[in-house]
Amino acid sequence: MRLRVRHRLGGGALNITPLIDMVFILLVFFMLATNLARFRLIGVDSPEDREVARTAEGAVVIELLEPGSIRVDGRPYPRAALAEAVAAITRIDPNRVFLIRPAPGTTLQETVSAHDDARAGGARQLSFSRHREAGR
Amino acid sequence: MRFRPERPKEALIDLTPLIDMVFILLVFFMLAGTFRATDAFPVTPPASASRIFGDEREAVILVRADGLVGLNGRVLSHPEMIRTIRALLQENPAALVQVKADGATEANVVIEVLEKLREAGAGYVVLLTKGAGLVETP
Repeated sequence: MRLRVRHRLGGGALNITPLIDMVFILLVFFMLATNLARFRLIGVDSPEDREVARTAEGAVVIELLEPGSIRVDGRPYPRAALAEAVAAITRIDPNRVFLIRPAPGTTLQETVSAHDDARAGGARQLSFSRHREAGR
Repeated sequence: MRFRPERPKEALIDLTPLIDMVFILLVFFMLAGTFRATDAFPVTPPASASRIFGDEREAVILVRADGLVGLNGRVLSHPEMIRTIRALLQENPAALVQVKADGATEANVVIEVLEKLREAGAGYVVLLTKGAGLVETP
């Protein structure tokens, strides 16, 4: 008896249309549902910052006053001179602790810019502190 | 002379490169993107020059310009925020808490939120800021 193979393989008749449809649907889903935005991170409360807060008495306080003026360690400076004022301190003691204390009404953007400038001035240990009058 | 009208050839567009591209795009979006809950309200983070890059994780506390606080797609009061963060920290004590505050928010309001997170026991808190572009690469 001679048996013939009924279905010949390799005919190339595999229908991949449903697969492609599913891939398209998945693609649209992932394109709409995923979030690709990347942020720049500022660590504000690491264990070291807690140490900073504990030793706040020995810290250099950067007070952000009305726009355009600051006080570093009690001395008034123009806002543009923040990095230089911090650099003058970090040149002597690179591990000096700095606390940024914004006056009431100061925006977060101004405070973050001051943080950037203090970092540019060489401040390694930086933290934020609330203004005494700003408490609820 | 008799010309036979030429029969139009059967149009056969090769879809293989298109399908390849769709697969590549699918894999890219699956690997590069992250899923998270929709924000309770829109927030524009401040710009900074920080060199540390990252994306949003599971605990993102939103602070609107008027001081309103949101977490996991809901608007919360400060005590509710502390309770939620405490519950999260019980599950994962090393959880990273991120604060996405509007650049126009009064800084002391944000610092107060940071202090409350510290009281709640959050070990690692970061402030989310952005650079010049929307999508950045390190």
